[in-house]
Amino acid sequence: MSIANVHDEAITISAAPGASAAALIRDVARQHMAVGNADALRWLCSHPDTPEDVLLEICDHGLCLDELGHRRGPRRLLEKLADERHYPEAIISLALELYVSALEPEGAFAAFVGRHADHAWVLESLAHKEASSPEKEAAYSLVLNAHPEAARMRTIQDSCRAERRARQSNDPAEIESLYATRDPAVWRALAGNPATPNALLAELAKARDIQCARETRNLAADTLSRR
Amino acid sequence: MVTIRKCRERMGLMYEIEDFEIYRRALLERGIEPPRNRYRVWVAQCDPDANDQSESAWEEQIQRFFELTPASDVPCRIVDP
Repeated sequence: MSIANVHDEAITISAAPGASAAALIRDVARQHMAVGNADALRWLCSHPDTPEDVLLEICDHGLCLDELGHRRGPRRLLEKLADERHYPEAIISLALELYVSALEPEGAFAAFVGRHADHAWVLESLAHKEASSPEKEAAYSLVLNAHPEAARMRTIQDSCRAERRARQSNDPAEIESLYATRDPAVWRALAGNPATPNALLAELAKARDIQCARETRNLAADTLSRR
Repeated sequence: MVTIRKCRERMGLMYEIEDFEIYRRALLERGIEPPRNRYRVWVAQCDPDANDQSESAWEEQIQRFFELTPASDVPCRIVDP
């Protein structure tokens, strides 16, 4: 295949019969990469038929990093963007995937979070999530303990844990103690929990002077109405 | 409706979007990033006896290249004047 600019500015791609869309894209992309034409490459970064090797090559050229960074994959591209280009969205996507997916090995998460431990925004994103194993949680804690903002992130982590418990718990004593925290996210979660006792739901349906008060009231009223 | 014009030439076939602005707009309306450049695809016909089936197979690939597939939901036709 070859490519040439013609007078009317259309670009002609010469293809053998049977050339796949991926092959056409590869040829076009390489020609644009050779002259560093990021504008022309942009549409190929989100094109569903752009093959992985082409995406990796565009990344290697340091072109269209924003467009590549907005992709969900392939995995090797995210790893390249994270480890070689330090692209924030790719780092966060991978960190979260490694942390919450039971399919991802503990060692891979520990190594990754260790490499990116200096980014507060990575550690803060993880604070909102639940690890898929105690080993991953321990690896996260180890890194967190060495960070100057550890206390703030622990607070986020504790609040998110309480919120998850508030959403799932069916233990009346635990629900009572969660209600006592007055944490807005916990209250909102309790308001939507079908196991929350009627008396507490009635209180939540009157929530005032707290973040998300209206959402909490509506959720509590809705849960009560389904009794 | 996006039209791909097919021109039969001596040594092969040339495929080109008839109105590039209609094509670009159709993709943009569906939230798909359109190409900045106009492209046309030249398919050299090595085998003069290539049958309709093989022609339709590579035309499908050309439509994929232009993101004119059922997934993009842009109505498309190939015209052979």
